[in-house]
Amino acid sequence: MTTPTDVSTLRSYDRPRWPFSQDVCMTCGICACTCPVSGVDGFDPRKVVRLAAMGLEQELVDSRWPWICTMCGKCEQACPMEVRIPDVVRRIRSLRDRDQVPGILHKGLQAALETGNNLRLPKDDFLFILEDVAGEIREEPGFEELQVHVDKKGARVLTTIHNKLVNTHTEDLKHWWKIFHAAGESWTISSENWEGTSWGYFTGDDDAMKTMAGRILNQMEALEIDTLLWPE
Amino acid sequence: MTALRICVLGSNACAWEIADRLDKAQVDVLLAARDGADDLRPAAGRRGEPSRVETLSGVRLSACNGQIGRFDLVFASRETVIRQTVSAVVLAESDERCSNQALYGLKPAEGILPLSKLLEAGFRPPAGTAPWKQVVFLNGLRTESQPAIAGDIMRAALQLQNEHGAQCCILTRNLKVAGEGLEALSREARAAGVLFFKFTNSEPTVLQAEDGSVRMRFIADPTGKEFQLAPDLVVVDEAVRPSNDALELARILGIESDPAGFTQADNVHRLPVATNRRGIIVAGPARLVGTDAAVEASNAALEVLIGLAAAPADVATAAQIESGRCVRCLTCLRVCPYRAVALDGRPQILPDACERCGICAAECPREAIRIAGLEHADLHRLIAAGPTTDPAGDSPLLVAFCCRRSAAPALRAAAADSCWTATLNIIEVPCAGGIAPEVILSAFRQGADGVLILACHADNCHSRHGNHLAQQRAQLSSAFLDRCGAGAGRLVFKTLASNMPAEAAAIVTAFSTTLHGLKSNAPSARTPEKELS
Repeated sequence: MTTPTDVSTLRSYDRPRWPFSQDVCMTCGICACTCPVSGVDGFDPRKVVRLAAMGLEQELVDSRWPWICTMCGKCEQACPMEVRIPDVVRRIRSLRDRDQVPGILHKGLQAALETGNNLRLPKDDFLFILEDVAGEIREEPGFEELQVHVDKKGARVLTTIHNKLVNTHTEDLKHWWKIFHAAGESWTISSENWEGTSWGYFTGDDDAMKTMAGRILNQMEALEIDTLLWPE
Repeated sequence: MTALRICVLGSNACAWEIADRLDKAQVDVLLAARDGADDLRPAAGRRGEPSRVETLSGVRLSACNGQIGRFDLVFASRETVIRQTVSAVVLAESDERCSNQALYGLKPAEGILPLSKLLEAGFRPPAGTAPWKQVVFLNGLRTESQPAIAGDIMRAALQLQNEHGAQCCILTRNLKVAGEGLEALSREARAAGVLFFKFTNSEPTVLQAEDGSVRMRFIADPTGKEFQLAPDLVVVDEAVRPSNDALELARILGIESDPAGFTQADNVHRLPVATNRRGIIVAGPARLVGTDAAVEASNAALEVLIGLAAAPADVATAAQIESGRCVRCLTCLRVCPYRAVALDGRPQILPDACERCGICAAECPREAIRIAGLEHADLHRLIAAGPTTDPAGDSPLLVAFCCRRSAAPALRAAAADSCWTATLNIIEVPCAGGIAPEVILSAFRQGADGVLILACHADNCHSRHGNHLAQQRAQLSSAFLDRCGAGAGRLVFKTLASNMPAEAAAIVTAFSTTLHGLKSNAPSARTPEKELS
């Protein structure tokens, strides 16, 4: 049996406060009821909020709970005290050593920071896939003239790509492109740093998010584009 | 009209405020309390103006006779008896708090304080002792939490935590925050880092050592984590109850109380500060827990003046005792819920106190009391005016005696769109307790297949026990019908509230069905003026 925690060791009042209203939780449990993953490994959002309010964040950092959360945000919508629960979870995630972040998220983010996309997909392969998908669309009636524009300076819209759309879900690219084509939209994709999925968000890594967002901004400036379509 | 003079009983902020307001309204005030003169702070003393407030301290009220407009009060002091005449009385007594320490099984010790003591001590430990590092508040773990107490606890915790550097924990079951600003206070305390541990199905284990020091252990809902505590100070919550003076005065004034003894009865038919006795108003901490003195004072002052401004009752509409028939059995004195019967050699009705409920008339064994419009002959006529046959078929003929405050509006709403309207005679009375057995039997004599007595719910009767008396009489009458062979099932007593038309409809429908069954068994029961006369 573990030793009970002495309440006098709780630093609920003299630590720097998080601005997520976690302290005003009145333990009603509505968050736990709405959460789609409540009960998985004993997780529920109310426990996370309560432990955070008591200043026991290290226990949370060391546990699996923050990584069970899907960041869907239903708890936050339901909370009558307006506790920003996903922000609490994200802050806890941010406090874990980076090499302790669960495998795929950590590796994917590292790949994105190093290569510009979560898959480490080489530029030539990326361009080949885009052209291949465009070729398939052109075989459909009415889309014979469809073009994929890469790095087109002065286009109206720059769109990012979710890595799975150039991996296992290429069909999903077609809908976007067909709409662009039919609408006569002037659009383009960047050949570098095209990744639209920012796992810095999910791992609580603000610096990584900033880096990736900055890259997209740089492309927009270089290509003189003022509108961004960022699906995800 | 003679000048108004109002007696305010009590010695607290609310009583003084009421006296002050009445003073400003140019009304003479008699401020009386049991406390010594020093404690009785006259309103004028605070304003330095000529005052209409007269004070009477160190006195006990021992009797209050009369009715709104003229109450004769008898006060006893140590030396003498003082008689005073006033137009109305405001009871604004105090409450008191008693520690729940014994309920928690805690012996008195230096590190344990009832909440009031902590507030009195100004949040400071006794001179020469170290400041408290950790303070635990016990709230509502053994008795239901009380918003006024929870408010004091949260304010104290906030103060100790912010100003005195103590770590504060509030161990609570339900945290009741239904009071002015309490929800915001709870939020403020939490945001300041006061730890709230809520218990639903468990409670903390509290251990007290020989030296009086306290240790606690508990599993914190909802984390499931186990915690322990060894606080420097344990602050125990308190129960709030009316002062003994308030309880005694309520008895002398003959006013109803709520089950805990607070002077505002739970009666839903009565507005706040009003009592069962016209001209006697209740206010302040002994009326209800957690009241605001200024709001109470406004309500009480207004209510008492409105009551006095109302036109005096027409003596003819009040109950009348026929002196030739009265044998002075004092049943009326005993049953009147409004203290409208005075005894001056023989019982007499105080017309301004009478609410025409009819209870005295229905209970009088000599039928010596009459109320205009509610005499047997009047009710007989109302019964006779109802339907005598069913134009559409052979639905049973029903007479429903309904309290005008509850069942009558419910049944009328239900009858508006129902098929049994044509065979139902709704007779509205001020109180179901005013229906005498003779009136019930009169309905059967005039051809009713069934009679409904529809009263207010238990404990919700404007006339305190009118519904209960109505039920007793219905039982007696049912037994009588049974002995006559007419069937006890022909008389039904039910309770309703005015917002229950669906239930009212269900009662009538079910009763009609029952009566159809009875009719096929005993068709002769419907013959008018026959078996029962």
